[in-house]
Amino acid sequence: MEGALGMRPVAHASSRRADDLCSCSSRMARGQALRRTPAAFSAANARQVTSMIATGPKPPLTFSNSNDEGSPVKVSIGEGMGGGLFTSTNPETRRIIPESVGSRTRLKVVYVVLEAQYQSALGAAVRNINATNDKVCVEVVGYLLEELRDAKNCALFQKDVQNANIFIGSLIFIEELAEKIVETVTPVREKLDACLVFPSMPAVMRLNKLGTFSLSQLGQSKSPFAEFMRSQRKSNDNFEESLLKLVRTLPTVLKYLPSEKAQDARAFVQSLQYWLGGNAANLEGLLLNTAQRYVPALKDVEFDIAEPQLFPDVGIWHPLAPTMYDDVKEYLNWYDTRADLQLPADAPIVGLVLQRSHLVTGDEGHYSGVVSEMEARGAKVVPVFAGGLDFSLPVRKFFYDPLGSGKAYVNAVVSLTGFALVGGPARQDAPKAVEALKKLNVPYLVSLPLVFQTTEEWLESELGVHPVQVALQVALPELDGALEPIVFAGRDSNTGKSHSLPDRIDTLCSRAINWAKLARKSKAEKRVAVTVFSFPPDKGNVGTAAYLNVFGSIFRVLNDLKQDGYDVGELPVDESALMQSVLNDPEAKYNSADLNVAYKMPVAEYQRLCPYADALEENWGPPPGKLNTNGTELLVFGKQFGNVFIGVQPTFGYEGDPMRLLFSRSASPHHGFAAYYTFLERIFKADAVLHFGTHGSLEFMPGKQVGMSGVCYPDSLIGDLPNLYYYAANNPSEATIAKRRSYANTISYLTPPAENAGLYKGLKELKELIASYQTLRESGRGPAICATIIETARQCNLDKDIALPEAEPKDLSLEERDNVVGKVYSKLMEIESRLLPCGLHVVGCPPSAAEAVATLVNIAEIDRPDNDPPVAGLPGILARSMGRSIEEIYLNNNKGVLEEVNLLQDITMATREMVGAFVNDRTDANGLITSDSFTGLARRMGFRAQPWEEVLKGTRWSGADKKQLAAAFTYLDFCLEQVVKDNELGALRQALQGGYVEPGPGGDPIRNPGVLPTGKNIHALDPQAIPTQAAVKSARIVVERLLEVQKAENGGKWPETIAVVLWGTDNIKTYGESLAQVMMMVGVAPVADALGRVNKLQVIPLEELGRPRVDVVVNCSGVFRDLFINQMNLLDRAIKMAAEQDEPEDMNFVRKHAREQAEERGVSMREAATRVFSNASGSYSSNVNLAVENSSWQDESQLQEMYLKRKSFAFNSDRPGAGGEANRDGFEAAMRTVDVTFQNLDSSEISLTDVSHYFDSDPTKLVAGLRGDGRTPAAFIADTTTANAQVRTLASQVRLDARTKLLNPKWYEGMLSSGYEGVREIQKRLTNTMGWSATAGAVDGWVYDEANATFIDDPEMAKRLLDTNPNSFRKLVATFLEANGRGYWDASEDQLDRLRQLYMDVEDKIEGVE
Amino acid sequence: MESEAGMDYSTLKGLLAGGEFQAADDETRDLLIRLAGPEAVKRKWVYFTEVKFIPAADLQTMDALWRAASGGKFGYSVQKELWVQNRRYWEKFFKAIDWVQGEHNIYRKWPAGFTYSLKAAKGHLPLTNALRGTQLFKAIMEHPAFEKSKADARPDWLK
Repeated sequence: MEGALGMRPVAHASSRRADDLCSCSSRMARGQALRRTPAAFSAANARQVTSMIATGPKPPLTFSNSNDEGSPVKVSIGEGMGGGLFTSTNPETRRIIPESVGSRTRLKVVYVVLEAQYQSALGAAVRNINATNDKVCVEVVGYLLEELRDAKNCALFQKDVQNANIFIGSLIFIEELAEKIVETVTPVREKLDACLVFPSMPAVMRLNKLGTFSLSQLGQSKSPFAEFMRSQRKSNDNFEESLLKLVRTLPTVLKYLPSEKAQDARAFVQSLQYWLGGNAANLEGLLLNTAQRYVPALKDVEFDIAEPQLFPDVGIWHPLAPTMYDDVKEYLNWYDTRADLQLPADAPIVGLVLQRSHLVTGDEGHYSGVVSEMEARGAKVVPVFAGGLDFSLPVRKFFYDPLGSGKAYVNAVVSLTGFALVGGPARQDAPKAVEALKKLNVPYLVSLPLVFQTTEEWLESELGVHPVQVALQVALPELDGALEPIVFAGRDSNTGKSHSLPDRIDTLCSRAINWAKLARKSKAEKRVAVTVFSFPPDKGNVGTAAYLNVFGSIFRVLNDLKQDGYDVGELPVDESALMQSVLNDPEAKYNSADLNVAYKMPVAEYQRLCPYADALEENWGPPPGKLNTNGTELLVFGKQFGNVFIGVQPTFGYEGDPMRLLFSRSASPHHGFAAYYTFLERIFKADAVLHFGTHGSLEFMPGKQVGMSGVCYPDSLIGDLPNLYYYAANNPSEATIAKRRSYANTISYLTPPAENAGLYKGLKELKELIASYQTLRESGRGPAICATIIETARQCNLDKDIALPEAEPKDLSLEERDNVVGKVYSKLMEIESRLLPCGLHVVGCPPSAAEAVATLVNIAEIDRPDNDPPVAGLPGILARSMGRSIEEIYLNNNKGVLEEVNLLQDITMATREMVGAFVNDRTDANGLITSDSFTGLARRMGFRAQPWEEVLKGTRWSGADKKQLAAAFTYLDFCLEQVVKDNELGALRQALQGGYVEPGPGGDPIRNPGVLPTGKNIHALDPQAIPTQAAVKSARIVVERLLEVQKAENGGKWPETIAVVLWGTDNIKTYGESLAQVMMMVGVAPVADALGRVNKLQVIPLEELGRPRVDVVVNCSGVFRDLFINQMNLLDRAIKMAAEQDEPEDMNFVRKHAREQAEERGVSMREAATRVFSNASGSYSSNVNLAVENSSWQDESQLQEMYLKRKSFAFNSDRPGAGGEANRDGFEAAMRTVDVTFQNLDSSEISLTDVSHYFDSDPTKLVAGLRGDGRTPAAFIADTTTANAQVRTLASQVRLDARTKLLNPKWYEGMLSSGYEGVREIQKRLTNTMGWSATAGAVDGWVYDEANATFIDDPEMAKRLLDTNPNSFRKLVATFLEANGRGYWDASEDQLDRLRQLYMDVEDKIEGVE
Repeated sequence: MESEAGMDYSTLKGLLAGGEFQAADDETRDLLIRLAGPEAVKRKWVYFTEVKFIPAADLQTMDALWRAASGGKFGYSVQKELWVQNRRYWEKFFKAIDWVQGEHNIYRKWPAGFTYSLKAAKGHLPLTNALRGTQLFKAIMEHPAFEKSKADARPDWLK
């Protein structure tokens, strides 16, 4: 979910997130709005040959020729970084022209590389040739891969290649750029004397040419190269490793090749050795060697060429060491006897992982910087490197105890490569990485050197790190369980060299050492700060977290830690006492307004300890300010138990301030917020902080999206504290934000076990009536029963969902009556079978096997063709045994065909029974899972039937396919074990002990049981992998259903424009279904490249599409934008592509609208086709949710203004580096044409009223206001949470939600069993329901009436709520009054009187007037 | 000019006396590398742990020359003073000595981005390479040579 932020599910979640979200706008530099400083790109100065930060050693004299003149001045182009591109570095800085050619042969070399570190070494090699060689001189020009995105650079590159002798390329793994290179080089390949391409995508590798040697030609033969290329086609795994292996083994193989061919192949291998050995001498050798062999003018010219200088593939390096080591003992022999440094025996030991190319090219400044910072802080380092991209090799070889105990020698590992541990930018092998890291079992951090940007570009960017680098160097390492994507090294714009970023290295090293120290400190001494949240700011909300019973969980964690040896002082007797100790000042009366004060921080102390305190004054004035203060001191709320502190994270502080909600870009944390984290780190001196549950606001504070700088608030606030974060397993998108922005090591927790919603009151009665109708339908009583059914259905307000006949049933035919009953029945079953999480989860308490049944049933209903082996869904298997297809049955059921409704109901019941019997069979008397080997054997031998076979015996499905059933239950068996096997407490203990938390995907356990068992470090997915083909397939079905439904309701007219909301979590869970939906709407298909990454698009011809291209407005959540900016790029391209098809406008609404808008607005057609919008960078949510939750809004137009103001930032694929650009005109123009608004529900746990994000992003009333005709657009929700996917109207989905949750005794009693937090859950559902009145007018009055009857009119219930959580109850009462006051609920005077009376009572109670 | 390391500071003195601050700056770094020992010379840069072996007298000599030539504006001890005043926060300190510029604190580029004259900010010179982080700079400033009492003492030969 991501609402704004992603999703915060459930109740708790809901509101706070909003806050969070809202708030955060990011600014990079504290205090000012972001402006660009063109001065930063000032004209190149003749002496700026070498530049470093601060200063460097004198450059060698040879550096100073050639480049002084004619080096073009860098121009600052347009707005934004690089004129909207990601980098504005100029390839001309890399051009070296020989000063005097004389009689020498002049060569031209053109290179394109990913690795900027080659720039200076190649430059040095060429300068040396030009200065010393009497036979040849070289003109060289180089392009960094990313520069080719710019058309001007690309044209320059084409021109350069035209008259080049030698082309060199390396590490080209970005398809769109690889294509440009292939396009450019292919036509001139014949003309080139030599073409050398080192590890890259296969299409680029095929450009290789050295005499007779060519990878493409060899593709057909039997040579080792051919086999290599063939294997690459099959799978790209370990691409580079196999290439390196080839290099090692080739010399022996070459003997068997014909000599000429062998020579050329050997030359390629030697070239690769020169290249990988990358220092200036080797690169000089590469150039001369290639020239001598393949440049005709230099044939037979004798050069003095050194053999390649080889370096070890893996080894240990240290800036002071006399040599590289390939044995850890030898390294330590040297290290431990250093005269310059003596470290204590118990010094923490940090393993560093480096790229050899930086060492051999002499570009090690950033590595040396980290080594010296680590040592200065008293840590011992073991810096290891690999020449290829499999860094697991040196990890396995050098990080273990040299004495052979098999234990890790290092206490933490920091990779400075930025790459995934295995595979780098090529295809990573996460399982291999995880295996190596699990064995080592220490915290694993991956830090980033800037690759595609210069230091200045990063500092000035709101996005932070370049999105492609985020995909390659943040998202991929996360799959390995990597933590803390801190940018530690910058890149100099002139030399391309990496350099230390002093304050970042400072942060990185302090943090890494603090992680390492966890293993060194005894448990009894270790200090842990547990942080809970409070959203919206209200005492009734302290301890909110999605699906979690927070105090119950903390109580359990404390007991567990106590047993493990931690000092937790004297624990209260139970969770309620624990909660009271935090919530209430013991001096005050019961339910006082104030929380317990743990520490009072004098302003002077705060200013002394908090280095960024003065930066907060711009927004909040001088400390202490008005929040979390008694007027003279800053207050930290919480309670300490031994070495554990439980504290309450302060709130954003402006939730109730409508002006700030509108203009919150300038918001920063307030002094109280800063004081809280200052207290944890500097006063309490925590060894680690544990954020408790999904989610708080720290990670949503202003700053860059990814790759924080020192002035980004999440980074400043968390300081040097290792951050552990219990996070809901089903929310990978926001978990990812927490990981990237607040450096959290997440530990997933399970959502509560789901149950079927069941039926109650009138709905239950209806079910009974239907049963009797079925037996008596043909008898004389049929019409009468049907009449009762219709009447009861009306009482239950089902007439809003089903067209009930006006005519008397006696006047209807039997078939017509059946159809009415069928429709009611189908609706009832839909309500009954809906899954809802019951109650709240307690960390470390997995569901019992019996509690897992409903979840397992839902798992069992889905077909999983991509599983290995494929698993068929149980309903499908049963249907097939009758010669039917389940899809057809679903379809008929949806139509209300009584017989088919019955059949589906029978199939559902049989499925539940089979799963129930299976679970029962697998558990013992205590509900624990067992395996009775005797029974197992008997079954295998065929003496005994499987439990599910027993269920089917004698039914109409007895002939169901046994093999398919067995496969389904084998899979369920695995899932069952995973569900009950939790590691939530275990992972926490391990993390606190300085261990590695195994990574795992986040998501919905029903869709992806891989999220189980919980207790994993949550990761999202490779953003470039979506949408998958399966997602495209499901998307097509949903889009078709949506268009059909709308067409049917709209007199056969296609909708012209659909407004779609894209969520991060939903796209992670469904592998990009909603992304694919948008593409389907406009009729464009995504195409995957050779590495399986989706970067290309293909227009679906109209004939194939069979309908017009439907226009869209894409509203991306802030979290989606943070995680999937490359996919926004793809969408923008898809939509513009559709607009640019030369097609009749009645068949292409994108084109039609773009043309109209281009004319109206006086912009180009392409610009008018801008349809992809989100928040400004670093800002999340429309803030409508915050306004609604805090009742801080005047009227609906104010909410709509918030939406327009905050969500109208356009993404433009022509200027991808510019991020979101304000474009309210374009947004309004596009929204004006909207006929349909649309969102997706992705999992059963989170529905429309569980979180505030869904209504926060709904533009239904907004569109009505913008459209000239005042028509309200149709609003639809796609619900793909069950096997039978549905497209419902928004109002119908809201009703379904109300019936299954807020009004359902099973649900609210489940919540109330969690006490204090449960009351809050109920109250949040009501607030979120009212949100739908405010944004879409989608709530019927009866929903408020029924809710009022349930919670207010029932005196016993009202008292329970009041006693359990008076603050939340007050909010509940107030919300009813507000719904009435705003005209959403037409309440009676009696109802209102009672509400007013209750409000006064609860006020008195809270104020202690009793 | 005092040197326990047997180093000759006359070139530095001459450059500073002639107001050639940029050349003097290059010479200062060069001297520092030589003071740090043959390993550092080979490496062409100084590792921070080598600084403690540099005699206080030599660092004080270089510092005194800079202070004298700049009217107390430049020199390691001047930088040390600002470093302490800025509570040892690099961010603030770099701003104070004007090594970063603009609202995003962009690092100045060497050599052209720096100011080699008395117009520069207090503490702007001499430059110390921060390409490999700030530990070297810190080690110099925290060297016993620049402890308050010692740094204040004016060597006899300057009086």
